[in-house]
Order: sequence, then C-alpha cells, then structure tokens
Amino acid sequence: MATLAAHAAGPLPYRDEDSDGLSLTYHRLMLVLLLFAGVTALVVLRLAYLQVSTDRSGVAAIGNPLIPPRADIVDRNGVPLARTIDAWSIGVHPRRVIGDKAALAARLAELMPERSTAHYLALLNADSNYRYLARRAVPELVAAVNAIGEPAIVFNREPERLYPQTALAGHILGWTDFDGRGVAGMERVLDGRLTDQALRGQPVALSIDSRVQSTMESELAAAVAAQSAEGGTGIVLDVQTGEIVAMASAPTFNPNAAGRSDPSALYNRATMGVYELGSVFKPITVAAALEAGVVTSMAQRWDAGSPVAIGRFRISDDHPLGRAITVPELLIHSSNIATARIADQMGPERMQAAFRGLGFDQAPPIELNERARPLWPRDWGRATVLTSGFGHGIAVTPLHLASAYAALVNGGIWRPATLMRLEPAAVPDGRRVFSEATSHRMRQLLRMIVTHGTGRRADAPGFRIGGKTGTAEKVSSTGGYSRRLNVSTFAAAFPMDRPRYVVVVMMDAPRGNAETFGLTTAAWTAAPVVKSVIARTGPLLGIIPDDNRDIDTSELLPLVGGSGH
Amino acid sequence: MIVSGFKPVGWVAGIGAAALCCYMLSLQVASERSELASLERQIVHTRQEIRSLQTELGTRGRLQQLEQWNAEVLALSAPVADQFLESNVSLARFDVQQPSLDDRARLRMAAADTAQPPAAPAAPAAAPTAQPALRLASAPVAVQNGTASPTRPLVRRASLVVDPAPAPAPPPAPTPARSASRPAAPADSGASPLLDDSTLRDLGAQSRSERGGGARN
Repeated sequence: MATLAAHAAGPLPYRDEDSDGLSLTYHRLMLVLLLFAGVTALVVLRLAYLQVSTDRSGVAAIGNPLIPPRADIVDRNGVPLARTIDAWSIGVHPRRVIGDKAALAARLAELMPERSTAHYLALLNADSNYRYLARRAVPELVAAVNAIGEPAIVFNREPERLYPQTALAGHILGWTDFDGRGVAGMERVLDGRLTDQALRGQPVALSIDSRVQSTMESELAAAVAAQSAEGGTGIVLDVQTGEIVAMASAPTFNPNAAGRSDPSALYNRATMGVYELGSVFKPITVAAALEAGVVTSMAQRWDAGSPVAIGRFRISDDHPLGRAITVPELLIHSSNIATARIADQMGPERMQAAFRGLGFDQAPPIELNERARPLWPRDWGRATVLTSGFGHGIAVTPLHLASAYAALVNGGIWRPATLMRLEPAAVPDGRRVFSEATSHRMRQLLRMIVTHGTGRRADAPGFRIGGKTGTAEKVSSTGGYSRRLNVSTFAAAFPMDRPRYVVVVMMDAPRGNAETFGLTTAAWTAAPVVKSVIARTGPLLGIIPDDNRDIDTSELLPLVGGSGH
Repeated sequence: MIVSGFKPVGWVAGIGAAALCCYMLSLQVASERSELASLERQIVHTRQEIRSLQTELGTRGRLQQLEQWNAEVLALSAPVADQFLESNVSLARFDVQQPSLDDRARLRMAAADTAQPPAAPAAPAAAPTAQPALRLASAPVAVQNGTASPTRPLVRRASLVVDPAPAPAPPPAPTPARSASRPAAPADSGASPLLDDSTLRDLGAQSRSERGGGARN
C-alpha cells in the first residue's frame, strides 16, 4: 500500500499516450493485486471463521456407545434378564484365501466341531465375498482361529443378545434371531419398544421377580424329575395387581441357544396348555353359587349319598361319604356329587356367566403371543353343566386358574394378568365378579381345605396358606380318560388373612414314586411344590411367617363332620 | 520522523502479536477440548467395560448357579416361622439367663469400687501387713500430680519399701497382684525402716483423694 502511494505521488516521466497505457497497466495490475489480496483475505477469513466457530464438543457424542442397540430387559427389581453385548463373529473371504484350503478346513473342523470338514471346505470354496464361519464365538475360539494365521479369516464385533440368567424365565423372555429381532416371548412383544431410538437407553422392567422365578423353576424341575412327569407349570400372581411374579414351565430351555433346544421344551404350559383342571374348579363353583344365592348358608346340606346319573354317565366320589354334607365338607372332602348338585341348581346360564366373568371363554389376557384359547364347551347341556362344576368338560390354561383364584380371594375383583411391572397408579380397576362377603367366605373355606382337608401337605407353617387340590384325568392318546394319566393341580393363595399372592402349580402326567407311595394325586405331587415355593419365597415377597396369626374359621369348623380324614 | 516512519510497522507488529495471542488462545482451547473429548471417550470406554464386567459377573453368579452351590455346599434352607421376630418384646423373650449369685456378687463389688479404692476394703481384712504395699503402689501417681511438695521425697522411699513388703505379707488379696508388680522393679533392700506410720497415712490419704476425684474404676 505504502509503495503504491509513493509511486502515485511521484511525477510520471512519460508522455501522455504512454502515460495513458501505463495507467491502464497500473489499473490492471491494481485489479490483479486486489484480486489476490481478496482471495487471500477470503481464505484467511474462512480459516478464522472455522477456527472460531467449529464446535468440537460434539466429537465425543458420536453414536453414544452406552446406548445399546436393543434395550435391556430387567426384572421388577432391576436384575438384568436380557442384555445386548458385543460378541465376536468369525468370517472368511473365500476368494482371498491364500493357504491350503483342505488343510484349513480340517483345522477349522478341529476347532469348531459342530460342522464337518467337508462343510468348511465348501465354505472356503464358495464363490462369494464373505461367509460366516461362526457367530457368537467365545474369545478363546477367536484366539485359536486367529492363531491359524490365515489372512482371509476376519473377526468382527457384533451386537449379541445375552440372557445372563440362562434358562431363567426363558418362556417369558423368548429370544431374538441373528438380526436382533424378537421372535418369541416378550422379546417379540416388546420389539418396537426395545429398538425405539428414544427409549432403548431405558431398560424395560417385567413383573417377574427373578428370585421367585428361580425358586419356582428349581422346585418345579425337581418335582418333575422326581415324579417322572411329562412336564409341569407354576405361577405366582400378585392378587391385588394381576402382575405375574413368577411363571415357570418345565421342561425349560436356554434362550441363549433357543434353536438348539428340544422343541417340546419351548412349549409354555402356563399359557399355551389348556387342561381340564378338575377339582380346583369347585371353589369357583361354590363362590358362583354363593353369589347367585343357590348356596344360602354354609350349613345347607347337599346330598352326597348316591351318585348323580346323567344319561349313561354317573358322577361319583373317590371316597364316598354316603350322607348329606355341608359346603365346608364338600370342599374339604372334594365331593364331586355335591358339587354337581350345586351346579345343577345353578343351571347352564348362571354357570356360563360365572365362567365368562373369569375370562374362561377367551385366551388369557397376557402380553405373550404364545397363548391358547380355552376349550369352551359348545353345548351346555346338563352333563356339561354338572361336570364343569368340578372342572371337567371345560379346559383352560393354568394362568386362567391363577387369575380366577386371585379374584376369589382378593375381595372379588378380577384383573387381567400382566408381565409388565405396574406402577401403583397403573393398576387396572378390574371388574367385580364376586362380592366382598363371598370372597371372605372363600378365604375361610380355602384355608380349611389346607388345615382339615386334602391340602394338608401344602401347609407351610406360619404362611396361612389356603388352596384346593385338583386331580383330573387326562385324555390319553388312545382317546378317553385315563385313570393313570393325571393332571394334578394345586391352586393356593397366601396369607389367607390378607391374601397377597396366588400360587398355582400343575404337574402334567406325574408318575408316583416311593415318596408319594405311587400316588399321582395333587396332594402328593403339586401341593408339596407349592409348600416349598411359599416357604422359600414368602419372606422375599415380604410375607413373614407367623404362627400366631390366621384367618378365623371357627364359625365353620362345627359344620365339618367327624368322618374327615 | 523515524518513529513516524516505523509507525505502520509497529501497527503491523502489534496487530500480528495480538492475532498470534488470539490464535494461541484458540489453540489452547482446542487442545483442552480435545483432551476433554479423549477423557470423555475414556469414560465411555470404562463404562462399557463396567457394563460388560457386570454382565459377566451376573452371568457367573446367576441364580441357577447359586442354587447349585447351595445344593452342593451351603445347604441353606428356608427360614421357619420361629426365626422371625415381630417386636422387641418377642426378642426379649429369648433373654432367659437368670443372674447367678456370682453375677450379683460381682455387681456389688463394682458398686463398692466407685466409693473406695478396690484394695482398701479387701486388704485390711485379709492381712494388715499387705496394706502398705497396696497403698504404696498407687502412691507414685499421686505424687506426680504434685499436689503436695513434702511428699516428693517419700516417693522414692515408698517405692523402695515395696520389695520387703510382699515378703512378710504372702496372703494379700488376689487383686493387688497387678499393682504390686509394678513397683517391684526398682526395688531396693534395706529401705523398710524408712516406712513409718505417718508416711503411710499421708500416702494413703493422697491416693484415696486422687482415686475419689479422678479414676473411677
């Protein structure tokens, strides 16, 4: 600038025509100079702008790796049940293999024996860019394969769904496929929520309590093994909210390797199995009769002396009492005859209404897709009405039964069962199916069945358990009921003075053992499971056993005759 | 003139320096930022590690495994009703131990202790000769407090006395064994004649007053 000014100030020693051309040149030079200066200034300004305005604080936030690609599933206490971790996968680029393919295949088969050498050789010779050799590989295997030294073999980290508790609650959780989509259980139900961009940082809490679930599963598995049963199921349900605290089905499977498990183990008996559950229906029939005014007094006597004949069928008792019995006696001795007489008086409409009220005519209201519709009788003739009173001719899932028992003891409110943890405000209102008085009466009666009747083997001291046994004959493969094949169920609630939880245990086709004296009835098969589950989990659920507390049944005890056993 | 000629140069230099300062500052900020970012990355990495370790721990200590360990090793069983207590009253029910005669006697001794030095009531009854030894044992403490200057020379004498004292008094009460052993170290024979009754009385009074005011056990 200073130089330019100096030249301009000085005299121009040229002629006019020259000075004109010169000034033009100067102007041009000036223009070029300005152009250069402008461009340089632009670059400098741009650099300055970039230096000042670039926000580097966002560098660390690139794809926050703390947010899993799929949300965790936890139990009601926050114990992780399903997580996504980074797992190793082993792949190969078949076209880039430089070593001896046959030797490589043999070595791979040695390290990963689940597939044959020929299979690996086919993989290595495949006309493709990339093939998986193994997914979800353990680090030891990765290290071993890496030691082969073949550069065409590559290792990647891939998100993998892990179920840390292995087989625990496998039927509830379900599993995902290799692409991370839920294909069964809650993984499938919650797929949208679990992969939601905004929500996947937050774990989803189920209603399951993993401690109770684990206890139920181990006790059930032990009983199924001891009695060589086909299977079994156990449910623990919160009677006030409908939350399922535990739901087990034996045999179990490991969702970490769902594809490799026995297909029969994937069957969830609690929601998919419909069974004629037998005598556990009797309290429901009695409660419905109390509601309907058919049973007006506990002292009312019902003839159990002679079998009831319907056409060519006869309804009889295993241990005939040979006299008229009161309602408490009916339940304590589990009399089919007296129950059939009550159901007869109820009639088809009122029986159906009672069962519909408890949701026995539709699939259990639970989130899982793996659920079955009950076998609702098409024809409600007299035979159906009478047999449905004691749980034959109508087949429901064990979960139906658990919900019904919850309504029976919680004051008469039926609520849908759920696998999601509910905040106190979110508990559904439910619908009233029994009156408060009926519910109270049923609590007394159920407690008496355990203290004086067929449920004695479930009486864990101090837990005030009330419940009903049910031993139904199973339809055998040849058709027709088999006396040897039973579905033995024990449906219980505790503590009876203020019911909190319903526990239902069902054994599918147990065979007696020496411990049960060869008996397959519920009292010997299912009731002990209920007892040990309650004894182990009661304190965890906040129910402290107390020998000095119980529901008052003194008003009903005089109604029980002396022939009790 | 020269100064005015260099003025633009000065301006340029000044502006250049200022720009450099600004740039240095900005560079400093950028480096701090990148450091922060790397720290954040480290935090994220650590959190990931924590998560994976938690997962591993949870998997290794899964409930089925615990159940198996319980079945094989611990053999714990469910608590029964008796093991739960409802209130303090039911807890007090378990305090079934009745105080024996011995316990009561000990209690009374403790009560006497606060009133008088422990040795004082026992020693004179057992053997009068033991008294000087006992009193003397506690004497040095009293002297150290320096409450009475004339007792100072007595200290040495008192401690010297101890050794001959146990000799004529073999049956002292069992309690003074501890206190007697302490002055036994600087024992010196031939000091017994220096121990006259007035000295003993002084020392005894001092020790009593000290114990009554200070030590309570």
